Amino acid sequence: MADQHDKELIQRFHENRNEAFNGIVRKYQERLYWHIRKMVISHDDADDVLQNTFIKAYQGLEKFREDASLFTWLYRIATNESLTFLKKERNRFLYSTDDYQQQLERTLVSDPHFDGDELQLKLQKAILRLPEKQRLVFNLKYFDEMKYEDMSAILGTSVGALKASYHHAMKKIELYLTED
Amino acid sequence: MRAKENIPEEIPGMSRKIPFSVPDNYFNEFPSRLQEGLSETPTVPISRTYPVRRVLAMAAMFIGLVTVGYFGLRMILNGQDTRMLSGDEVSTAIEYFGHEFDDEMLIAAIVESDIDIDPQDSDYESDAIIEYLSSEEIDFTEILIDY
Repeated sequence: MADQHDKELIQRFHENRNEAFNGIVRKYQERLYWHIRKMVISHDDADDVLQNTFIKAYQGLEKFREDASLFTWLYRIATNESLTFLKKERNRFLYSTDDYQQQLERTLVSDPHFDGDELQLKLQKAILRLPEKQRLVFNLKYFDEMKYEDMSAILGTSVGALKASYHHAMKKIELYLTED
Repeated sequence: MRAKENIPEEIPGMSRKIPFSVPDNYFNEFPSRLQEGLSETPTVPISRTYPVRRVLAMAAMFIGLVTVGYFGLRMILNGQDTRMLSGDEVSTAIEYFGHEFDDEMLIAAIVESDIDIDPQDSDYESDAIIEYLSSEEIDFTEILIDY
């Protein structure tokens, strides 16, 4: 049913761009926002990246070949935009990987839109210590409870590699949480 | 392999709730803000007159060279480890590197580089692209951490 609705939205996009795209935005904005936010941490940055994601989608939807689902395609754009954003920020301030991880941690601690408890803060700090691709995998699996097959379609990585990545991420996080 | 199948699904005592919030009315207002932005943004599609396939083929070659270099570096750093690398480890590493080379990121990187590209020039030689890709410094530390 979800795929059929997406097909209708894409069909309507060819006939009435703005109205159909508005429907796509309303349907996917929250899922994409939270996916981005978990990577970039700051609400303002997530807002920028989400806008860029939908602008890219708007520009590319005319030629969208539907060889992947709309959901997968949008998630892929959001993922790439998030990683591009993080890379640009690192390069802009000439951060090393460790320095940028600490900067994100400072953003997390000072974020007025963080409403978790101490344990959740510790978990988020632990997640920030993971390499970016592992963070992606962990977030998609742990918080979104996404199937490995769907994750594989979005990230272009094999199910086996994703399971290995999640396994290592869990180990690192458990180790960090049991420190102190 | 058995250990990877028994991956714990939850962290004991830890909620799966995302501990972030958004400003009031954010999602109600986002679509209309986006529409304003779309009407201001020119809808010129990304030009594909760059020699994309040629660049991607070279990127694939570059990935292969980096992968060989990575395993060589790893064997040097782990001098005691004389274990043969399994096919799974090699393919997993290639998949990780391959993920880095998104075509749009690659095109954006070339656009931001010093290469003087004339998209109308269909005889544009690949030498400048090869030189640019070859001059990129690869942070092996980051790759090792990532893997």
